Amino acid sequence: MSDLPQQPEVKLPGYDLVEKIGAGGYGEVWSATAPGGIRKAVKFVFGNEYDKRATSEMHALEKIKAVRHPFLLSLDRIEVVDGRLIVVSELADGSLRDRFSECLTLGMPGIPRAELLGYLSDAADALDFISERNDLAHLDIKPENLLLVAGHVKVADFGLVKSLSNQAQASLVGGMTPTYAAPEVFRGTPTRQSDQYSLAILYQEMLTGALPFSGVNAAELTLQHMKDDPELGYLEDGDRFAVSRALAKDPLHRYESAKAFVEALRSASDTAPSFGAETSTTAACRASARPPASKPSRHSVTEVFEADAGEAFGNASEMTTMRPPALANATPQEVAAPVIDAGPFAAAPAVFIGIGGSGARVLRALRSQMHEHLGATAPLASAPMLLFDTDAQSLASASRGGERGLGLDATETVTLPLRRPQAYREKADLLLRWLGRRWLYNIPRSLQTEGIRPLGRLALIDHARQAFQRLRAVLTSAIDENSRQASTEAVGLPFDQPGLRVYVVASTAGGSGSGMSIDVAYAVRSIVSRLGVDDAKIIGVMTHSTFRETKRCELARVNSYAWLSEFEGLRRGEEGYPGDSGVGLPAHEPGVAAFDHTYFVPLGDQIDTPAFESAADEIAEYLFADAFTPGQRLLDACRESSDGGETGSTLRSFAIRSRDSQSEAEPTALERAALARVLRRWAGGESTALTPNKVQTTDQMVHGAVAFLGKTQLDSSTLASNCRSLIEASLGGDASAYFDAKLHSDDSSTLDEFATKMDRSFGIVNSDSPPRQVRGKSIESIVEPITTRLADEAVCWTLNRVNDTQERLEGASRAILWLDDYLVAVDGDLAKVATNIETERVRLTTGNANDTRFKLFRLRLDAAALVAARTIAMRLRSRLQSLRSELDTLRSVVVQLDSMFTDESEAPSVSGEVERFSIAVEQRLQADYLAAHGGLLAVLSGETPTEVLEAMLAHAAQKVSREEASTVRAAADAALAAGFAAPPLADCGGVFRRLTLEQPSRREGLDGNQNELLLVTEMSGVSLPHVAASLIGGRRDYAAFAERIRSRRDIAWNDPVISSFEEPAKPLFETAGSQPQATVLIG
Amino acid sequence: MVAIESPLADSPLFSPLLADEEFCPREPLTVEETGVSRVLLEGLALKLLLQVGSAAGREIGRRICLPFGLIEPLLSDLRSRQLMFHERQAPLNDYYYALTDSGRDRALAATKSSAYVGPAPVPLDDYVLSVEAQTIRAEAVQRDQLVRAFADISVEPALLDVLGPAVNSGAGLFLYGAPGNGKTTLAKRITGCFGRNVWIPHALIEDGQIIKLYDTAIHTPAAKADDFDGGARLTEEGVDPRWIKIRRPTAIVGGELTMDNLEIRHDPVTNVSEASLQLKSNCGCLLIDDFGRQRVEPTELLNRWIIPLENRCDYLTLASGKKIQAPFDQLIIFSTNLEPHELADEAFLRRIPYKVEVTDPSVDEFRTLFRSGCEAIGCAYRPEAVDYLLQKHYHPRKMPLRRCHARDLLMQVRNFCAYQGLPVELRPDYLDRAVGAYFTALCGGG
Repeated sequence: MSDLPQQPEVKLPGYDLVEKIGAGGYGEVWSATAPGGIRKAVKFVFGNEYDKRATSEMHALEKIKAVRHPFLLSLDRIEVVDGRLIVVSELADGSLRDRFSECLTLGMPGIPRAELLGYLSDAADALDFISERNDLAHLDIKPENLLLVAGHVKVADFGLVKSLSNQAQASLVGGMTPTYAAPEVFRGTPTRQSDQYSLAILYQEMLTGALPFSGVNAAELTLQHMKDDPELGYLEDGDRFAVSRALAKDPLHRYESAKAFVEALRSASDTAPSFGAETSTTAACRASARPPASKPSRHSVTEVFEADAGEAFGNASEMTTMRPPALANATPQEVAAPVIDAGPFAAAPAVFIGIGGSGARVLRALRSQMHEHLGATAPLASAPMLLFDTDAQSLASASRGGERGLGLDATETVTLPLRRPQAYREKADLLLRWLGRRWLYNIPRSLQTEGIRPLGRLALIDHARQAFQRLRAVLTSAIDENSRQASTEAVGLPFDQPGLRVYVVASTAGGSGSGMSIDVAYAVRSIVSRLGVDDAKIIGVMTHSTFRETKRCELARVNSYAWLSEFEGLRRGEEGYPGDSGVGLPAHEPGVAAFDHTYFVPLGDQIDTPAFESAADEIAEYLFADAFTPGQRLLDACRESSDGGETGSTLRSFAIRSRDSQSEAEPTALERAALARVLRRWAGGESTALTPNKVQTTDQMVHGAVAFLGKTQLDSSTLASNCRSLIEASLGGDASAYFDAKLHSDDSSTLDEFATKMDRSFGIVNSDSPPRQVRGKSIESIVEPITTRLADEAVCWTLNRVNDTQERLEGASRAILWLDDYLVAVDGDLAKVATNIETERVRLTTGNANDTRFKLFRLRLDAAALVAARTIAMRLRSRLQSLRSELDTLRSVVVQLDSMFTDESEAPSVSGEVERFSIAVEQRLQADYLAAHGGLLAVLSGETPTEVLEAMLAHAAQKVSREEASTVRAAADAALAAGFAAPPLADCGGVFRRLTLEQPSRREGLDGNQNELLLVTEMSGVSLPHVAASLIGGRRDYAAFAERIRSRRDIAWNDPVISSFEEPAKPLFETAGSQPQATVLIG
Repeated sequence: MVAIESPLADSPLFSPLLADEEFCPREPLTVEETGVSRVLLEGLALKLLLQVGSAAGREIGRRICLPFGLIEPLLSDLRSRQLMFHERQAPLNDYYYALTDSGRDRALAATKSSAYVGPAPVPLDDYVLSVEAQTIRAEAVQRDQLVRAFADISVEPALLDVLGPAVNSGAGLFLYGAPGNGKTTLAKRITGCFGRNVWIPHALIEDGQIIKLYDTAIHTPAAKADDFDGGARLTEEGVDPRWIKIRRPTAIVGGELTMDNLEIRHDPVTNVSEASLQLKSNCGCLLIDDFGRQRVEPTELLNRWIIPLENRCDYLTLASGKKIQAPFDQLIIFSTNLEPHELADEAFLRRIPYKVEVTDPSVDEFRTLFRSGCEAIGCAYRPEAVDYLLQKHYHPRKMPLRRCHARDLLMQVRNFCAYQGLPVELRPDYLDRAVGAYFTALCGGG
């Protein structure tokens, strides 16, 4: 095989291609030798993996790959190699088409009927199986796709397989083979009977060599499938009935199943079917269609078994999961934002306490916000920060740049290091009262909490004196009058509002934040009340995020769960917060929560560092807005409003998004390549590929073509009759009345004389020439309204493709070509009818009776209508011609843009990465820019200067590459192009408000004095138990782990999350609970 | 036991959450983290090679109980200093190492200073912490645990209720009563109540003195065969291989106990020390059996315990003369057939808070013992045989019943039958013969 015709450039390791055995619109198929010398068929799908063809094939394969049936070609491998989709399947002997050709060479008209029926029966079996069992339709049944193995058929090529129950969009049909496709497939709504239709066409073709619909291009075939009756003359009488029923235009009129159709063919006798025969056949079909369904085949047995197993498993999982009682309104409801009066704003002293790594990141971001917006270069005395962490290194990095106001001041950090276990020996008895032995003696060598909550608390309690002294000092100085004055002088923002705001920012997922925050909050509460501040507000902003590492991720979830349940336990428990006598932490009454307002903010699951940092920045923006901007009033009003407030086990949350200008930079090579790719996709490739003659191959169809035809009534007969009504209208509305009047005033004696007169009124000079005018008005002007309307519709339909992300200029060209083809077909039809009318008119030369004259008149009228229709068709075609040149103009714009992004040096290689990126860029463009500006068409054809277009493209690419860092965010963004973030905690009830806050800006270079806008989605009344349960996926075993990582064991934690659910988990929680019990005895 | 089946259980991060141990020595990742000097570790490797000739890097690591990741750079360093050379390639990116001539000299010098070859030692400090973490006092034994531990021996419920609190005290316990009533058996069972395992180091080091701690005579490695989970955990990653997981130890000493056993014993030739009995039985039980029969005066022995019992720590002297403070964390049981007040004065008895008398069995219990004894030797139990014994031998001679009698007499019967080639039966004449032999010997003709 040295002369291989163009081997695909992609190789599948281990497979040696032998020869090309087929090609179609979707790809090509090679026979190959697989490892072990086994012969296989390898299909290479055209285009890279992101191409429409490949993705639709991929989707289809997803659906079919689980289905097993002896008459379905079995798939061995589905793989993407170098961006190309490759499908390996078993190798067949040949296709039905090959068998057909073989029969032809033997001098037969087609495949012998008995043999063909056997094949058909196999195919029907498989098709019924996938439609009944899997709710799928094949939609590409043709002789090439029915493969023969050992005298049986295997249905192959599942590239168009569609789910029947899930048809969200009519245009989902990705392609079709016009010769065999059923009318409803053209319409985009395939049904269970669509494959039967194709099978019927295939039957006739394979049996007789003649197709029931003989159109030569897609447009013509569309018309025939939709409207025309099939040409069944080649079939024997017995078959004719069955085939015509299977080819019914309405799928409901066809046989119930493909099998029934084949049975009908089988039972068709030589005698011509009578009506009675039809019913009996139908009955027979029905009867024979049933058994496969009711017979307990091996498959159904397996299925029963699996169903049982599934049920058992379901029970098991019920035992191990917590099912929260359903909320009345699980989806957060939007409520109106409160109205506040604007007035001069004065800030209250605000203390920001950060704990742990997340706290550090947020405070650092907040400090740079203060620097940016307030111009603060040093800590403000009335807005101090205090950062606790066990990790001195993280504190050091938080205070980096502190002297320039970009980080925390070193004096604002408090290191609470863990010590070696030996160091705690003296205090051990005291510590072991609340700390589990296992934690005290297993402090990691790194002296980090490593996500162990009790160790976080240990670090705090061990250094309690130092920590609480610092806390006290910070709180005291923040409310000091001198501090207020100094702060006002420093940044020009009055700090004379009474009260004190304390923000505690920590992550519930880590060790330090989760272990310390509750005690810190209660300590703040005690200190504040001892300082005599009445209207202090303690606002907890607890974040939850997990990093990429899966193991840590699990622990983080359990940590957050444990935190939530402890927080709630202390708030709602009968004992209240017990304090800690060992370090002088005072107790609090039951019902006093750690925070006045508790925010639980998920930052994202398995996020990477950039995503985490940008999420932390957002929290900092929120904190800034709440502490230093007039937005505070709005947010406070939200917090005070009664609805679902802090009653019950609820939390608050928020999500924000800011509209900021982004710095421009030179696009990277990837961005440029992607943009070039986008533009090339817009422009479309070589339009020569769109030869309209591939009616036998599966091809992408022109979406919505049938719908367009239906809407515009652009088929020959309707068009002609519409023209005729317009012509009649120009005759006064009633043609016969007009004729009568004409006849009365007429004095011609012979038919000829009459005809000549009449012809004159139709503008006919020579009796053989076609009518040109009616009653002195040119036909063209009479039907002008139709022409205009159709032209508009056609322009609209074709050009709107440019705005369709899937179509663009290429799609528009394709649509124009298709429509042109179609109009040619219509014109041909009309011409044929006109010839018939002319023949009839010529025959009407004898007889002078009135009815003959009337007939003649009618024929002329019809001819006029046909002329009108053909004129319209011609006018439309010329309009389409001009559209093509318009499209070319647009294309030139795109090509010009393309040249800006394409370097001569770079080879225009389209790798998978570029393709993927380019698709993201296009989506971003569509969402951010094109949609807002009326689509690509408007943008391209409008007056938009090229530089602006270029900037728009570059901006979108940058945006995507920035978001690439976090797919989580990108997804969220795509969902919410409009601006506001979605409520962060879905399905946990609550209400949300959408608030727009203004961030004062001191940044230079921003357009004008425009303030930055902060779009806040403020949530309240979120059910805490639901949030907690969803964190751990409702798993009881995780809840049991949470018991083990309680921050202290001297409190009998009665998990409020579980007790809030109906069914307390007895068995598991006894085991978990025995731990603290036993230790109480010893302690 | 808490057993939660979950995928989480496999996660290394969760294993401390799931493990029953409250202490688990984590694998050192650097030489510094071992707490032992680099020279000492090198010396161990060199001495090992001096003994065995050559070994693969992994094997060296296994023998001196250091993770491969730590030993490997150590070995390549030794090689670059030309103390070792690569003999040949070993599997898994490893080599066989052997000593060069200068390496041999170095090894000999190391042997001279201390002949110890074996698992790398753990600093005393770490050991002290581990004892505190795994203290026996943290184990609260509950009634059903006790019942389970004594399930297969005959114990009166009342005795259990006295024993339980005594065990939980984790301090001291006097078991006294007539001989042959199962004091030793009882004492041995007590440690069985402490279900959990503990981690101990193979050897300790303090002031450059290596003290061997792990002693196969006392320590049973946890669950090699009978507990898959434990077995798996022995090879578990992330655990310091210098430590070994053992059952809570029970050290039993009888008449052979000398004061010497209670001190760190130093061998001046090898310059290696052996841990004292108390160190070895830390986190477990120390049973002084047949107290009063030691060559040492009971008072002298008891005085040795006064300070440890009071302070829960012991002061031991190293060969260098340095005194070290070692934890004394064990349940110490004195089993004696003497009355406590005969042995010790009030000052001492005050420090052993629990005194439990093991009394003679009742007739009913005696029957039960006989029946289970019969089952054990595989002969049919006949109640009238016990009646016969009581009538014929015990009552006339006013002999007290002892728990061991049933077993011992049945043994005699069995041995006799085996010798005569007769089937084992409870026949009066067999019993007469057994009693004759047994009691004559036991009671000295009484």
